[in-house]
Amino acid sequence: MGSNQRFIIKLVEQGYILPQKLEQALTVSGVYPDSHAWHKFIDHLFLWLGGLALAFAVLFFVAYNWSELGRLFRFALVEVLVIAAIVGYWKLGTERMAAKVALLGGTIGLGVLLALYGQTYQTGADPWQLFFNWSLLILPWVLVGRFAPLWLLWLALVNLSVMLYFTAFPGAFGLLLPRDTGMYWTLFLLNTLALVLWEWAATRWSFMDRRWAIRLVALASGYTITWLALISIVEGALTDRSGLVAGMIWLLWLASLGGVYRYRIRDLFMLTGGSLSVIVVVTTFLARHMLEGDPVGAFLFLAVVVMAGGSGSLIWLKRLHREWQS
Amino acid sequence: MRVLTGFSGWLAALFLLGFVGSAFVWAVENAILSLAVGAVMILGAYTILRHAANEFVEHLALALSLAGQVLVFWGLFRINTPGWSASTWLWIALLELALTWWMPSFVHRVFSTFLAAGALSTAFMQMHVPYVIDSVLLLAMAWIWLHLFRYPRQLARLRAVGYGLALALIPLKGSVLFQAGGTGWRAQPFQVESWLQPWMAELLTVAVMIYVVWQLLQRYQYDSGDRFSLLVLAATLLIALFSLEAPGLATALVILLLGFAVGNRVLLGLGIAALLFFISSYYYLLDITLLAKAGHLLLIGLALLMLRWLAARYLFNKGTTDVA
Repeated sequence: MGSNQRFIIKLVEQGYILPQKLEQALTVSGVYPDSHAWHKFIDHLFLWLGGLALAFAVLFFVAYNWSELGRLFRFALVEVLVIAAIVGYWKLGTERMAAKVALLGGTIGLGVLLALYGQTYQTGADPWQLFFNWSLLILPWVLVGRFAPLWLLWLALVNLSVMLYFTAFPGAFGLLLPRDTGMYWTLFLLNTLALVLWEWAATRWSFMDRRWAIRLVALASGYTITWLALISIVEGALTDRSGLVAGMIWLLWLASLGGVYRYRIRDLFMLTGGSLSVIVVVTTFLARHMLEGDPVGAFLFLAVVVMAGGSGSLIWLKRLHREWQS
Repeated sequence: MRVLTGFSGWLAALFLLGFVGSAFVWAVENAILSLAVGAVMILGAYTILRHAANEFVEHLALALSLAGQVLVFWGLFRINTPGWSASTWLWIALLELALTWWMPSFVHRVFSTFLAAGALSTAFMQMHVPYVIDSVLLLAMAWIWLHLFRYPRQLARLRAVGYGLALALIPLKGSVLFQAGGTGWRAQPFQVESWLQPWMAELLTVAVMIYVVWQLLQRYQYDSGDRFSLLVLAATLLIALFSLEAPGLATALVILLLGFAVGNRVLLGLGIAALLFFISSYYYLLDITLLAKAGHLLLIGLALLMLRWLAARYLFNKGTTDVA
């Protein structure tokens, strides 16, 4: 519907559509949804909102830690709901949206169950273990579910457990990874691997071919490597080995991103993200070295560099867009 | 790509400000002078934008204008005593409204609308009329998206304002949500006593939601008195009333509904983001216990699933065959 809307907007602005024919044009072109589209939208909206509201209701209820409520009752409640969600998934027919929502509800329910277990028996486990175990236990459902948002949830849980693990043990894997940036390196490797695998999976299974989900994973990968490059610049570490490695890997990442999304899979979003990363890193590099001297000239120069970078990227991206459309 | 334009414009403006700040320290220390320098910069940006031939010049104008605006705000804060008074915010809102109208740039207009909405909301709070203005802005946003194509000459302006308002309403409604719990950045500097309560704003939001649905029914040529319309309106009222207990939910639903109704994916995405944001901040709302929140969510969830079942059974298999 997005491209139709842009097209209609152009026609309206250029005066090709008479005002009295506008409503008709908008309906015929599919910009205004028809009854079937409305039916589907409302059906999915109510289903998702209703399902998530119920899952969160259970989460809040358990988090309330009601002392008069017996331990057994709370466990039974969550367990029954998880089982009901899975049975629902099975009975509803696995390809229906209602079934997928039930599966997602069951997945959240399992996390609630694990949290309740930790809370009740005071197992002394670290927070990262909760999320890691959660991601391990739901893996079979994720594999069976054939549902991109479920994979995204799984990846988010793994990301979260990595973050919490490094919060608990900041110097983990000290021999393999730099002490202060170990978490970012792990997250970068994890999300980049996930991105590569997801792109591969998208060519094999249509349910994985969801550009918005792939872009979110790419965002996580790009964010962490850009951050690593920034750290090495700000800490003046480009002269030492780990800083240099960060810079080199950032360049390598950028080249691969550009190569893949320019020539193999055409995706303007990814290229825009790469351009943003270049602008941020180059500006930080220049600012780090120039602002120590004469700040007045440096500020003006940096402003010009950013504007040149922004407009240059935009011109390139627009040209690509036109090239791909023709 | 517009995010890229906005981001690099904003970053360049920061450096430009650094340049102006360090090169013209004497000007920045004087309120009138910083007002004057800021105004000249904005005028310069306007002139450039009117004749902009390429992307670089457009970025330059954007950065120049943003830096100029910061200087003008700085001057306004220093002229008014106390700086954070309602009149300062009203002046800022007025300036941003004027820029929204005149600046011939989409990104600039979105940005100016965003700032105007924030300044207006803060000004009203300073005048001891909090919360309600945000719902009035919601009504304005709904009206714009519903009547977007009715004014072809103003299409570019209206779209930018529509996006700017949607972007502003998410944090604005969010801050009210946090404020109800006694926290939030807008609550700290100026705790205001007022007879107005957050629920009044939510009630107004309910009215906006019903207005949107009513307008959509009219678009598909339903009489406001027929059975289908009455059922749809009743269902909307029910959902809206249930969502009263979970602040922000109705706002997110309105954005979502508008996004779908006008076939705009960006708006639809904003609605979904708003929904997730409000639901997760609901957890931190301090006024009510988790038990009460669980109860509200249970009711909302059951009501929605029941409505879905009823809609599939009684509404859609009869009513919609004559739509479109």
